[in-house]
Amino acid sequence: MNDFPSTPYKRGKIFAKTGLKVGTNYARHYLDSLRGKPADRASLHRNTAEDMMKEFTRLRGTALKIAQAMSIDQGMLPEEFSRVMSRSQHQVPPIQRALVRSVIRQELGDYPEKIFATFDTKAFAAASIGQVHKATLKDGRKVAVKIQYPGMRETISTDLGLAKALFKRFVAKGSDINPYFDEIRETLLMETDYRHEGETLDRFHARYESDQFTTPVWIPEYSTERVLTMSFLEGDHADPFLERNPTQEERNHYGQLLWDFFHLQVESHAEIHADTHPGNFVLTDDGRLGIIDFGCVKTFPADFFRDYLMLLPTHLKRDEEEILKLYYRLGVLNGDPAKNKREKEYYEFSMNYGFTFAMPYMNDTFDFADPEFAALLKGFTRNVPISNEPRGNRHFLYSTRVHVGLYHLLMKLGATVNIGESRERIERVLHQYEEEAIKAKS
Amino acid sequence: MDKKTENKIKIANAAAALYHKDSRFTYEDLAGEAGLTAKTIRSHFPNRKEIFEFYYEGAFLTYRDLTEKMEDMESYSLAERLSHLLLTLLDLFHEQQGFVEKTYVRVIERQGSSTPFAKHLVREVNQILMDDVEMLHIPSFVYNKATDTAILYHFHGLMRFWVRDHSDANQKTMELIDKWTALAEAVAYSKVGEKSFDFAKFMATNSPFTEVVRKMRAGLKKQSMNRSC
Repeated sequence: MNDFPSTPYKRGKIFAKTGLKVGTNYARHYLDSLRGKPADRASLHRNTAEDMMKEFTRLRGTALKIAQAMSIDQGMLPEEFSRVMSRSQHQVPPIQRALVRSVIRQELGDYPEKIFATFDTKAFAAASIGQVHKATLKDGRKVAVKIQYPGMRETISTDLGLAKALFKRFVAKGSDINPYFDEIRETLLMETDYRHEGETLDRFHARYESDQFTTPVWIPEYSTERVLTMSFLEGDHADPFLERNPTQEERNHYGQLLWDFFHLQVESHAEIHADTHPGNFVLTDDGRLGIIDFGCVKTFPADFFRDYLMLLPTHLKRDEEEILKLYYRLGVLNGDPAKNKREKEYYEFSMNYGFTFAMPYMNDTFDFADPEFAALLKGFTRNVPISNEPRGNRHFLYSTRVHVGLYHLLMKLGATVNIGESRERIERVLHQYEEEAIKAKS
Repeated sequence: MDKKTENKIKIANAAAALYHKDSRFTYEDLAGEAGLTAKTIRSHFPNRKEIFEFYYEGAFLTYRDLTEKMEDMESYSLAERLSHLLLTLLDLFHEQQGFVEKTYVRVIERQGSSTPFAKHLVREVNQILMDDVEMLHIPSFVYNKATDTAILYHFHGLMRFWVRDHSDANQKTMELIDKWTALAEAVAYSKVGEKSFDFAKFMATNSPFTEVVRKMRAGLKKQSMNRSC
């Protein structure tokens, strides 16, 4: 089986046909909105969203998570929203030092100065539900200690209730936002149990620690439900890396590792690190990709994951018949686009988005520094024509988050990435699914 | 902390643990629990009431000892210092929760401001407030008996919240302390206090009601004098 257009020539032709069309359509749409054309539906939504945002940002940590899950990636909410949200990320107040001490005592049995050889009372990284401190164990190991704000579980439930009430004012009447909120609630509550994260750390470490990748080692003796201690990964995040003015070769190396890590996870189809955020990846001094923060790791149901991956070859081949089937299955469409104007709008938008999304897979290498590609992607998140009606399988929330997050990170790095191997990986996974389906039938 | 105080704290802690198991323990029981002779214990505490009272004072002395050893205390904000005081006391009480739940109201709360614990607590809070650079513009005579009582009442309230807090690892009490001290800091740092004082000072001498109040007071005084005659 080969779902991908087989030769580079074929792929190139499709690229020319679809890419250009998508490009001009959305570039125009994007420019129009920048020039501030007469109030259309989208800008109307934007105003409502701005009002809502002001209230929403008060929810801080939880709001941030919701925004991360919904607005930035899903394109469900306008970009302004995510911009305000990312600003609010920095406003999440640090856990004050007296409280850090008492949390450590409650959880680990004594004050930090008694437990650790050194403990930096100032957090070096903020997470939405906690913060991370540098410390040294008495045996000399350097560690990162993640501490959760007290009462986080209940705060999340209250905040989600409030957020839902706010969202209801914003989304179209009659649309069902419950599945999305359930998905977020489940994920967030899971994130509040740091033991769960510790176990995930163990699994990822066993699976990926190599001369290419590295992940922290969980230290269970110094961990509880609300305190997580792990080995400290030394390395540069994307921003300091870029400040160093790295060569193109270095950028490509970093980018390739990120790209490969994502596709290795796809191929293992067990678990996927679902928080593709620049702060969660470092480039170590010995040139490995360090992956940190395993609070949000998703396992997608097989049928969803298969359909999601199938979007790629079908879009590359422009197989509209298959695409339509997938859209129905994935809940992107609720009716026949040939008969219903609104469904047609959804269909066209999703297909164009899909084409753009599949673009990097067209050739054997892809240059994420291409400004046209960046403009295209931005155009989509900014100009969702249908921004106030949530659609699509709830698992899209995190699958697209990972995927779009990866693209954004690669664009930030300006990396050119080799695609060939990853395409084979996806093919292999799809092939497996097909074999399993045949086996199940017989 | 000197050896004698250390010993006294040790005895008080042993007494607290014992009390939780059996409130009618004897000095001999306590001697066994603390690993000292009954005679030594008696030399420190002539009666049981004093041991219980000292348990609370001891918690405060332990807090002070811990705090003196902390290097970064200087850079703590007002909210952090207040939280540090409250959280540390509760961390210590947590170790003898059964005893504290049964005795706090009787041994501390009902005794008003007369116990050493209450005196230490009030003095410490006042000290934290006065040490704060931002707070220096509030004249020290604002801190008076009324504020002292308010400090005590707030602490009693916190203790009642803590006793009823059944959340995992007392997370709710921690949240309360965090939010309450953050609010206290915000109020203290705002100009509200300064402006209120300024306003009150003006109204005290210029309000038309001042005259009325003075006359009323004079009338009342006259009445009571007449009655006593």
